[in-house]
Amino acid sequence: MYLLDVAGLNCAYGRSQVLWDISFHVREAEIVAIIGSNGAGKTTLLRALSGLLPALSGKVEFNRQRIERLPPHRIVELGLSQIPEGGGIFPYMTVLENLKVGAFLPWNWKKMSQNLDVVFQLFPDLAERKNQLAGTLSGGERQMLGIGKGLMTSPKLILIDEPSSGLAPKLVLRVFDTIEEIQKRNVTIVLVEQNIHHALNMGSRAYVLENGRIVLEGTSQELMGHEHVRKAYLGI
Amino acid sequence: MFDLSILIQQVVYGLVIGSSYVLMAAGFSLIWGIMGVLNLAHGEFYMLGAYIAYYACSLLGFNPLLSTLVAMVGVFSFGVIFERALLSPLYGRKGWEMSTVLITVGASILIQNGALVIFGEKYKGLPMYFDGEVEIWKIFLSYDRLVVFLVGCFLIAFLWYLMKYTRVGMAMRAVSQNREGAYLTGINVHKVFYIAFGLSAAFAAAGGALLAPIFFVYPTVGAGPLLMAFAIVIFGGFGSVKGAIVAGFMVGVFESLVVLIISSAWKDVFVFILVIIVLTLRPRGLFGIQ
Repeated sequence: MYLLDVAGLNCAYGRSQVLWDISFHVREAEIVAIIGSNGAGKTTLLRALSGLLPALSGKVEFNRQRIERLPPHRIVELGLSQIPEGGGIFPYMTVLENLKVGAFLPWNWKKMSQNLDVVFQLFPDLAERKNQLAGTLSGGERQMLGIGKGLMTSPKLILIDEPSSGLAPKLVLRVFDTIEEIQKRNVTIVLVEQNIHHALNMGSRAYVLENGRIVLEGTSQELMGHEHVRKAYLGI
Repeated sequence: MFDLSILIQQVVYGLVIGSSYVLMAAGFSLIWGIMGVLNLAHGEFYMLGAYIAYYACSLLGFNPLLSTLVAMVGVFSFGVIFERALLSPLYGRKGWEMSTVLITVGASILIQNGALVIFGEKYKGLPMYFDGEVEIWKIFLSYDRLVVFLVGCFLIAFLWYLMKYTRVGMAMRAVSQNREGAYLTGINVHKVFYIAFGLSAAFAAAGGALLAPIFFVYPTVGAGPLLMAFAIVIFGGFGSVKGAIVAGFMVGVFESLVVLIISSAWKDVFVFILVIIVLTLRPRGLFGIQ
């Protein structure tokens, strides 16, 4: 049984179709990477999965429930949380307030302190800055706050959009380490990345998105060795 | 020159009026911040609040506190229905935030004329509810005004607490700062919209209801406060509730000082001159973000 099962998904902005016949699946406790260059449709795919962009046709099943027609807040309620690029944070609220908003749903509000402990354990920096306005954080800290906010929703699966974008190499490694740490806590992870090298190192399986279609799929090892990937993305 | 006590007296009067302005402006600013809607029917919520309080007091004999509460509850419901019926069908359409300007202007005209038909064109005034006045250090304040001030401040503090510490208030701030981020956090944004709209209407109604025993009530009574709310919100910074609170009290005090020093006919002129000066120096307003 798949935790997330996408079949034949088509999406458009207005009249121009962006995603074509997308099919992929994610098993529980897996890290799956979706890789592709700028403009391949990665962010659009995430927007479609989280309900921000209605699908034209196709099926998205999460935890055995069809979600492609649900509004975004219902999808979060079911346990699918998306961390958009930049973290999706609230700049004029403090770090702590941002995390509290993450616990907005009534059942999460009740176990807020428990989830806060987990987040502060994963991100000690956030604990130190909890009374600082989120808008004054650095790019890396915002990304961590975004992930922390996502964890406050007690997700079964998190979709992370470009966690490495705009970060210094050292920070990228730290963010990826934390993502692995989160996976160990039984949260399934879908990583959407331009930084293909890192993404393939982390994920057990990966899909390659090009011009709105999935052109390749396989285990990370297979893709690393695949001629097209080596030429087009790894520059080897 | 003036007696110092007259000056202080006038400042106190300014704070009383200011508290009503704050109630009006805070909600106006809230709706702009959260929904991006410029609600030009906001004055009508003030007017409806004043009429409900008037009838609750004159027909049912309620005291000012109770009639204010009745007005707030009534207009809260009216605001929610207003948002559901007139604004929510527009969400998601191209340029919907602009079309709400037209809708709210139309609704404002409709509600005003409806009030004219139902309540009549006569100015209605209430007798003073609490007779007498308090005297502190030669400053006199009628009990009626004291009640307006205290209840106004209580409601402002309540709104502040609600926005700062409660789950609903945090959700409202989240929506105003990053709507997409709010969606992805599991917040039902459309629900936040109508709760915020109802709250904003209820606070405008409180402003009207509290001043009903001091001033007259008539169908176009909301036009002045709407204009004032507009000025205060521009002054304090669009979308900032804190700005509306500070600017509302400042404008109230400034206005009553103009009344004392120059004349009451000039007060609006000077208020707007003040707003223009502030905007020239600080285009975002006092606490404006963005």
